[in-house]
Amino acid sequence: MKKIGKTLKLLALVCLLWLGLAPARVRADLLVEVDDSFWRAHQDECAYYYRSYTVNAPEGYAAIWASPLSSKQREVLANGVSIYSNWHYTDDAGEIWCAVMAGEMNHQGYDTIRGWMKTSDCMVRADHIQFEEVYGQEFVKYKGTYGEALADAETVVLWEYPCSGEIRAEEIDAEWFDNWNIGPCWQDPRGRMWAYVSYCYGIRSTWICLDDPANPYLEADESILPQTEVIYPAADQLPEVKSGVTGLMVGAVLGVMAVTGLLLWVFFVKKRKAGDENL
Amino acid sequence: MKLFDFALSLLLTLVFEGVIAFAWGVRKRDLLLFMLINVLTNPAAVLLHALFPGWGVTAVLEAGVVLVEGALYQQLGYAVRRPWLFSLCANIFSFCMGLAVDLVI
Repeated sequence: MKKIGKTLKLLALVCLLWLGLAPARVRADLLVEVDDSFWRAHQDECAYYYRSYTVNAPEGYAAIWASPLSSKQREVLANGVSIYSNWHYTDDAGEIWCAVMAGEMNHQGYDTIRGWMKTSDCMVRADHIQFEEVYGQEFVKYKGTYGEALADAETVVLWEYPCSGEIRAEEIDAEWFDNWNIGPCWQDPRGRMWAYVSYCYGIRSTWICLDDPANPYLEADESILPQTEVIYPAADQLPEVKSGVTGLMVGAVLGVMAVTGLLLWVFFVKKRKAGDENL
Repeated sequence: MKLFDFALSLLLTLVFEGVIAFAWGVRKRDLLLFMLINVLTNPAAVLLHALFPGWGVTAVLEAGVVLVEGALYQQLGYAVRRPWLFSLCANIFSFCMGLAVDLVI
């Protein structure tokens, strides 16, 4: 009895230690970590950048997987559904996976995700990354000073990319900007000069229109980043979510249980009965 | 999910519950019983959890495992003291350690 009591006390202590000391992951930067075992195991291989996608697979639907290495699906989404991601992982085959954000945090302050989706099953929404991919060769260094360009502006508007029509933030204090924290620049078809802002008040990767910095009504020009991908129709019916369990696994488990059951019967049930009969 | 996942889960269960078994005084034939009982229950529990994920199902599965193992220890064990309590403690410990391993890995 004393031994059992000691063991129980030890067990209780271990469980309390585990509950009380669950590590909170702290990193020496402003990135919010993700509550996901795959991300934790591969965080050094995951790239942090925000992108918004629309599901667009040839089959009419695409799966959200438990991880890029898993055969288990968590959800199946029809084409046309919008998702967004802050983290991206490239597997050994070169496929880029995005962590599909759930849009909420757990009680420990970690971002929660719905799972992982192949970006090849999605269509990326036009953004500053795509703009740079297409127009990066045309970027120039601004020849004047940004102080002159923004001298008459009290506030500025931050845009997703030049001529996007998509505002990321308005009424940003123009005094934030000087020669060291904006650039390079790009001139749009209408001759307006735009400058890239890598970071401003917690907002990353935006653009200012130097020729009209405070105007929030600059119209979008869809010819800047036209939609060129084929848009596949959504499937009428979505398939069942795959659990990742195969018939082979079920057969193997049942086989192991049968053999183990037999061993238990031979070594314990039968022997016990034989022993009882001998008494 | 791969067969390797089942094997790893079983191995870790035997290690973690083995610690409790040894501390509990489980020896000789009862150690063999302990291993066979875990081989019987663990893969099935892992399979059912993979097919029916969710904390509610996990709770039911774990309770079921405790009951099945407790009954087997009671019926077939030679010198397993307090078999039901042993089953409960061993499974709680291995469950907690499994969660800790998942956090760390």
